This record gives sequence, structure tokens and C-alpha cells, in this order.
Amino acid sequence: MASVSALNGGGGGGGGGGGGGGGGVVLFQRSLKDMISGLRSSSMSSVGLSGGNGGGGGGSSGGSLFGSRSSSASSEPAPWAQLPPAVIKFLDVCLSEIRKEIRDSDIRTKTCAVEKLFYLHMTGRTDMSWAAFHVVEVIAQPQNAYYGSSTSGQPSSSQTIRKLGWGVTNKRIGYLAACSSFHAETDVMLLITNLIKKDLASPSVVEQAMALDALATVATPDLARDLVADVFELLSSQTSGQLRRRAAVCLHKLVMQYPDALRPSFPRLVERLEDDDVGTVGAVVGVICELASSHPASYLPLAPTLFRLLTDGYPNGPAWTTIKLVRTFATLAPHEPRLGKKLAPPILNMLATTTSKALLFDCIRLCAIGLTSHEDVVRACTAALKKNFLSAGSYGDQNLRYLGLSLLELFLQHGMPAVVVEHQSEVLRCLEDDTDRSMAKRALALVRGMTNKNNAQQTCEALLGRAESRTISPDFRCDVVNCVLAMSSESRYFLVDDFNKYVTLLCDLARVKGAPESGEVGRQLVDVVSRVEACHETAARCCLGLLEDSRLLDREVDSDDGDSAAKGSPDAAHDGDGCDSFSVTACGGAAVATAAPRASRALAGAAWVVGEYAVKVLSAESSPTPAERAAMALLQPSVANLPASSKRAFLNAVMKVLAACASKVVTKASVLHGSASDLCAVATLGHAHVSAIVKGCTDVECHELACRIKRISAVLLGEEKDDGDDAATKSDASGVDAASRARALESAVSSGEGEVYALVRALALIADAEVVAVASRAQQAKVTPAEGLDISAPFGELAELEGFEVEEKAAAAGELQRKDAKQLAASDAAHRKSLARHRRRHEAFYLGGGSSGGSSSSLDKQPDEHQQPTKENVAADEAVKRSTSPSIDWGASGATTGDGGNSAPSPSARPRFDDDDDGDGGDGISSKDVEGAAAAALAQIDLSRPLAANEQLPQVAAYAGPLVVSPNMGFGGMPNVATGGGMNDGFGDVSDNVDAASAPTGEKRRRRRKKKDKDAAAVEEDQ
Amino acid sequence: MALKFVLLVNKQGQTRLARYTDESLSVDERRALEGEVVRKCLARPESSCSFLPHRDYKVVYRRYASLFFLVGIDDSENELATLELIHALVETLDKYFGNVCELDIMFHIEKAHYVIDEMIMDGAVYETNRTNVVSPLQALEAQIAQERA
Repeated sequence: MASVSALNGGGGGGGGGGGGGGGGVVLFQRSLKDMISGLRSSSMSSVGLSGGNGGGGGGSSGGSLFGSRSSSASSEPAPWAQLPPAVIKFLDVCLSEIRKEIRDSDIRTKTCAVEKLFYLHMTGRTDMSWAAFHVVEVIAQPQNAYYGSSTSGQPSSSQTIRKLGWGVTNKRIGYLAACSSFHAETDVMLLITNLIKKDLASPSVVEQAMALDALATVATPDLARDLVADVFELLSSQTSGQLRRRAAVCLHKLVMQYPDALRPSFPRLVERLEDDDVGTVGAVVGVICELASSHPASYLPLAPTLFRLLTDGYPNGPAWTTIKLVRTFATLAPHEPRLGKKLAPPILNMLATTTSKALLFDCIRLCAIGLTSHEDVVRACTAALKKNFLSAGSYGDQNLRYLGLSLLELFLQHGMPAVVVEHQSEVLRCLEDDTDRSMAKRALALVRGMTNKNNAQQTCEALLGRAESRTISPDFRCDVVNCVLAMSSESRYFLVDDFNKYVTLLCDLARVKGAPESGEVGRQLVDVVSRVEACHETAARCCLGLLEDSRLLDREVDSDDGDSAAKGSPDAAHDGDGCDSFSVTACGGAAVATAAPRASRALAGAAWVVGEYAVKVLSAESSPTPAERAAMALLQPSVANLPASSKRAFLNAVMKVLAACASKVVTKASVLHGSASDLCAVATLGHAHVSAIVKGCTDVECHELACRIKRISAVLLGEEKDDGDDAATKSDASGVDAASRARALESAVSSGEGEVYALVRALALIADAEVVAVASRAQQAKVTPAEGLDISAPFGELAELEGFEVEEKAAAAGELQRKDAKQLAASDAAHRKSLARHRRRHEAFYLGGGSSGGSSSSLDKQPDEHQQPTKENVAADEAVKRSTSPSIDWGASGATTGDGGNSAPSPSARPRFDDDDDGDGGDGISSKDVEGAAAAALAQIDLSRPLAANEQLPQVAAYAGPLVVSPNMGFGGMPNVATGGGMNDGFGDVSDNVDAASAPTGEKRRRRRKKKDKDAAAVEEDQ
Repeated sequence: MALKFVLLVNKQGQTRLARYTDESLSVDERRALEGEVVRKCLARPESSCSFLPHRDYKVVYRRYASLFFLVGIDDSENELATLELIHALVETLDKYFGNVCELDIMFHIEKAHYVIDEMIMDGAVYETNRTNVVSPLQALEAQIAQERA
């Protein structure tokens, strides 16, 4: 370290002392200063001489921090840039030196190496975690050599310092390095426990303070557990307030790491709130503030003590402590309503007297969080907010305005939009801040929150004005426009009072240059206008104006394409005024401008409005009549620039204008009602220009529409042959011709017959069909109920029918024993009847209602129904077993009844049922497959009667084939029955589920439990 | 606690002093953070406000000559008070070094750290009085110098 003093005066310096000498002994060590100078000079030289900034690393680094700001660009490279090779080389040299020096036996050399390493670590040039052990060595160096003999008792700090020297300097550096490089995973953590413990107990205040500092930074749960007692002792140290406040902060860190320590040490911590040393009180308040923020409710008992501090001691105390106190109350206040009443007077006092803006900020914050119910405080806060943060006086101070906005946000979050509304004009003014985008964004969020029915109009106008300004950044303009649209349409246009004005606003938004993609404007135009009749006229006028504004159609389109000749727009000048120009891609040589105008989708909406309403609601007195204006606007050449979707809207609108004109010529009552001049003019325009619009367009629907318009126009104008545009253009040009055409059309119509008359009549009919907004469910009410259906009859009646009643009672009684077969059959018969009755009565609710006749009759065709096979077949041996075990209740008829009942209502609802059978099941079986004796035999079977134990049903030819056992038959194999029987039944008693075809006859029998019928009935009811 | 880092960075983006309470950051992450923050600060016009949300931090910054003083805080801290803390720090450094400049901080980095240690501990501010910060440091130095002599 000798070189430190040798070079102490040198500022710039070169490479400093040489590297380490031979033999491992460091003769001339490079000091930290030498290293920094070397780094600077090497980076300087690598940049080259062009920097011209002389020796200083940056023009202003030599000047005072309070001096004038220098704007000179420095030549020093930024750290994120790749380091120049000279610097890397120098760093390598330094690091290799450090590695050598750090192992040196001389503690001073070692310390210096650690110091250099610390610097490199701090500036991000290297990671010093490998040197952790050496750092511990530096911290742990023996001190006795420098202390001399230790004095007994508590030495004063000056005595201690006198005995320090290199020891404390080195230890300090060691701790500094430890603070910046140690972390929980550092493996030498275990080693420093004792070191810190020793230093905490050191007679030197300086060392104790160092140890506390370090511990507060590097504490781990283990360290905290081992050392919390020592720190706790220092908390009541009588030596120095410095130590107590450090101990308080350190204790917080330890408690965070080792929460068990909180409970025993907390009382002593609270005692320190009455400390003589203001710094200690401040530190403790800070700690409590921090602790309370995680569990506010547990710290409520401290409120009286803290309140006393707030009122007695600290209006004049350090602002930092008062701020912390107010913050603590801000966390506590929401948890204790009575606190608000207590806090109001001191807060009012502070608001009135304090000069510290930071304290004012926290007072207002406390009010927003916890005192919103105290009107006087809120009023005072509002005034203070205006005066100190948002007002014109502090207009220049961006920081205060920013914080003012964040306070307003806080009020908004805590349900006080009224406070924000009071600062409306200031907030709107913040929107105009072009220099600070974050400020304007905040203001916009506030505007969104504060707008209510009263100020919506004004706010929207202000936002529109902002969006139209030229200085605004493009993405913020998008935000503003989106904000207006989203805000207004919220909750079904709740905020909109006057829809006439809103429609005007929408049209203005569509005109905003550089506005975002305009789909929402178009959507809302259509949405609002179709719903609100009162605004039809305004909307038609505004939208017509919008369409006539040819700028909107042209602005994004490049004019270097071949298509531009066709569009012939006079205002190419508009392209240049600040709008982004899009490149045009021509596809396949065809002249297609693909860069659509940005407003195209808004224009599509406007076109719909014009087509729907312009002719109907606008006064026809003006010189170019609305119809003519609409047609001209809709058919202007630059419509060709629009994308196909918007073009379709335009062409449809033309059609509707034609129809609307036609409806003025003929009505239902009279043949010739009014003048045909409008119709004629529109037809002429359509005939002349529609082709140009779709020229080069690849969308077939556009062509289709254009074709239709052209054809209709031709018929109306009496030009049977479609001989191109020439004739029409000519006729358009000469007014006399137009008038005569109108007369000709009128005479054609007045004749009351012929093609032209029929066409005009048809068009007029189209115009009658007005589009109105209909709720998506509105049509449901218009369906007339089927005859005989009593909609108000409750479904519950079904349960009152006898069969259900009996069974329900049985079930309710928990009757699990099986009824004998006869009883079962009787109940099933009753059940079947009741189902049939129910069906007759509530025909309309059955899904198979369309074929109601057939399905109800299928109830009568029981034999067929019963033989309808299901998939619940199992192997023959099962069937044999069953037939010999009469104890099992097979209840064939009961089961079939259940199934019959199920299948009857919805034969069409489960077509697969039949397909999955053996191929011959289903309702049609009786007429097709079974005939003669077999049919007769089947007909004789009384399926309502259970089979006797050894009785067999007669064999029927149709079923005589080999038994087919499908692989998915079995216990779980009944998914296809689910529609009828209910899936749950498949997982009941296994033996119950086994339904088999009886092997010798191939007959299919089924048996179900009683419950199944009930389930089936329930399913029916649900349906 | 509330203060997460204190950074002194010059406008070339070179870190002159870095003090982190947030130990979770590795050296590389720290370097990246410093670069990002300084670039953001430099990109802002001088008229914009001193508060800059960055990642999870609220960065309060102030420029003195060529040096940016940046303090990262969390939600529990008062921005204006932090701004005042920065000024107090600069004034304290000025008092300690006597008309402080970037070079003073560069070449006496450990002393600058000791000053910060006297004011901030584990992210909590516990001393803002210039004299209270400087006098023990100077007393200690005087003692050491005397002893060395």
C-alpha cells in the first residue's frame, strides 16, 4: 500500500506501478487508484485520438456536481458495449495480479487486492464470489497488534479510535466487499458468524457499527438465528444512539430472515419509540412501518403510541420520521374505522401548516386510503392537491404533477371519483403534455375513470381535440381515440346523453388523421344509428359528409400505380400532410392498390347509414337532392381504393338508394306517386360509374353487385343493350337529356305495366324492408304456441299421475324389497298408460313431436316395440342361467314397458339405436320382416305378463338366426341405450344388468328394475 | 427495506457506484439493470418527471452534472422523499469531499460507500443530517491519519 501515498496526488496517471515481482513476493503493488487510472487510460487509447476530451473521462467528470450541466458527448464507451480489447487486456493483467496478491501473506497486500476486486465487482467487470474466503480473511485479521492492550470497561469512541489504525481500515474494506458480494449461497457464510459475533461485542463502536451494517446486508436465516440475541442486546446499548438505530434496522432484517425472533424482541423494539435519540425513534418507526405493511391488523395496538408521536413530538421532528408515521397510519387506518376520527385533526393541521411536499403527499395519500369518509379532510386534501401538485403555480414541476396524478388515481381506486372530477381541467391539461408520455398516459387513465354522465360530452370533445392535434405522438393518438370509443360504448352507451352529438363525434373520429384502424367507429355508427331513431337525420347528414370527404378515400393510397389514373382524385396534396404512406403492391400486373384507406371500415358503416336513411330522412328541397348526393358520394371513383369488404357496403348502399328513390316514385296506393328525376339521376350515375369502382377488384361479390346495379340502371334508363359507359356518360352530361329520360321513365311507370314498372315496383318493395335492431332472443316470443298446448301448465303434474305417485312413495319409504312380478306388471301397465296420457297432453314437449302420430301409435304396437332389441344382450349361457333361476326378477314386460315408454316419444331422436341392433329391430319391423303366423304368434304375446319360470316365448323366424354377440355387449356395453334408459343403470347390480337373448329362441328379453322406469320417466320429464 | 438500490452512473452509462439491498441480482443482472435504466433516463427529455417505473422498481433519478443518481424503491416509499434523499446524499458528499466531482467518487469509492453506509442501512434511511453523517467519518479519518503519522 506504499504506492497509495506515493501516488496520492495523481489524478490521471498511467499504468501505475509494475506488476508483481518474481518469487511470489509483491514488491510494487498496483493500488486501486492505479488500477482505475489504468482502466481509464486503456479505454481512452483504444477509442483513439478522435475523442479529444483530454485526460478526463468525459468532459464534465472533472467539474463539480453542482456545476453547469455539460452536454458534451464523451468518447468513453458505454459498459453495455463490448469492451475494447485494450481494456480487456488490462483487466486480465489486473485480475491475474489480484489472484496472486490476494494469497499474499501480508495482510495489507491482501486487503488492497480485495479492494481492487471489490471495485471491479461493483462496476460489473468481474464476479468476485471466488474470493469470498479471502474477504473473510481480511475481516478476520488479528487486531491486537494494532489495538495495544485492551482497556477495561466501556471505552469511549475516541479512545477506541486512537487504538485503531490499519486494522479498522482493512476490516472496513473487508466488510464492504462482503456486503456487496456475499449472498445466501456463499459457502463461507458459516465462517463469518463468529467474526460478526466478535465484532458485535467489540469495545469499539466503529467495529460494532460495521458488524451491524454487514449483518443487515448479508443476513441469512442461520446467521439471524445465531446472532439475533447479540443485536437485541445492542438495541438497548447505552453507548451511542448510532448503535441503537443501527440495531433496530438490523433487527428488522434478522426478523425477516428468522420470524421466530420477532415475538420476544418486539416489546424492546417498541420501547425504543421513547428513545432520546430522534434517529433511533425514526429508525424504529421505519421498522414498524415496514412490519405493519405485511400484517396491519396485528399492529393496531401500537396506534395510540404512534398517534402520540404524531401529535406531540413530530410535527417539528425530522420529516422522514413523520412521513413514516403517516405511512404507518395509512396501512392501519383501513383496519380500524375509529382511527379515522382520531387522525382527522392532526392531518388537517399538517395539511395546513407543513411546507414539505413529501409529507403533504403522504397526508393526502392517507386521506385517500383511510379517511375518505371524513368530508372536511377530503375537502382540505382536494384543495392541497390542487394548490401544491396540480395547479398552474406548479405547472412547471413535472414531478409534482406526476405525483398529483398518482394521488388522483389512488382516490379513484378507493371509490372517490368525485375528487378526480374536481380536478378535471387539470387532468385534461396533463393530456396535452407532449414531452412526458407517461404523464399523458396516466392522465388518460384518469379521464377514463372520472368521466360521468355530466362531463362526458366535454371530456369527449377535449379528447377529440387532443387526437386531432398535430403534435401528439401516433400511438398516444390511438390510445386517445380508443379511449373515447371504449368509454362511450360502455354499458350500452350509458354515458351518451345526446346521440346526435355522439354520431357527429363518431364521424369526427373517423376523420382524425392517423387514427387507429377504424372498425370500431364503423361498428358503433351502425349500432347507434340502427337503434336510435332520433339521430337518423343527423347521422345521415354527417355520414354523407363523411363519404363526400374524398380525402378519407385517398389518403393512404400511393398514386404511382396505374390505377391512379382511374381514380383521378384532385387532392394528391393530402397525401403529404403527415399521414403514413403505404407502399402499394401490384399483384400480377393488375393495377390494384392494396393499401386501403385507414378509415375504410368506418366508411363502410357510413355507407350503410347513407344507403339506409339518406333518401328517407333528408329533405329533398336542396339543389343536388340527397339521393343524388348519396349516389355521387357512393360512386365516386376513389371508392375503387377501398378493400372488397367496404366496397360491398358501398355497392349495397347504392342499391338501397335506388330502392329508396323507387319507393318515392311508386307506392302501394298510387301508380305514379312522385317525380322520377331522383331515380333517373341515381340510375344514370350508377350506370356510368359502377364499372370503374370494381375495375381490378378480385372479389366476385363486388362484381356481382356492380353487375346488378348496372343492369337495373340500364333497364330503368331504357337502354336495353348494355353498350358501355359512353351513352350514359353522354346523357349525364346534358341536362336536357336527363330531364327527358326522367320523363320517359315516369311515363313508363305510369302505364302501370311493363318491365320498367315491374322493376320500379320491386325496388320500392325492397325499400320497405327496413333494418331494425332486434334482440337476439326477440324472435322466440313471436313463435305461436302449438294448438292445444298450455304453456303455463306446470310440468309437475306428471308426478301426480298415479303410477308415479305409487312408486315415489315406495321409494321414499326406502322400500327396497322387490315386488312380486304381478304387482310389478300392474304398476308398469299403469305407468305406460300414464305416459301415454302425458304424451297426449303435452305433445309439444316431446322431442319427437314431428312424428307425433306415429310415435303415439307405436305405444299401441307393443309387440314390435318389445322386441326391439337392444345392445344389452349377453352370451347365451347367461341367458340359460337366468332362465333356470326364477328367483331373479326378470320382469320382462315391465322392462319393455319402460323401454317402450322411452322410445316412443323420440324415435327420431335416436336413429342409431336401430342401426346398432341386429339389423332388424325398430319400429318398422312389424310391417316388413315379420309376417303370417310369426306375426300372429308375436301378437298373442302378452308382454305385460311376466314369464313363468320355465316358459319360453315362441320362436319367431325373423329372430331365428345365430345369436350375435357384439364385443361391446356386456356389463358396460349399453351406451346406446343411454338415451332411453339412463346411463346410471348400467352400473348397478351386475346381474341385473345382464340382459340376454334367450339362446334357443333368439328372443330378446329385457328386464329392468323398477327404478329404471322411474328414471326414464324423469328423463322424459326433463326433455 | 424500501430502497432497493443506489446507483451513481455517468451519462456514458458507466457505473461509478452501486449499492444493492436486493441481493437476488447476480453481477450480470445488475449490469443489465444499470444499462437499461440509464438508457431509459438518457432517452427521456429533461422536462419529464424524475420517476421512472422499471421492472418492479420505481426508479427515482436526478442528474447532477454528468452523474445520474438513481435510487430504486418499492411501493412502500415516498417518491418525493426519495428525491430529497438524493439531494441530501449529494450535499453530504459535497460536504465530505469538498466540492465533490465524479472523479472524487471514482477514486475514493470506499469513502463514498462509507457515506452511504452512514445514511442508509438495509434500504432504510436512518440519518439525513449532513453534519451527523460527516462528522464521525471525519473524526475517524483524523484519528487514523494521526496514528499513521
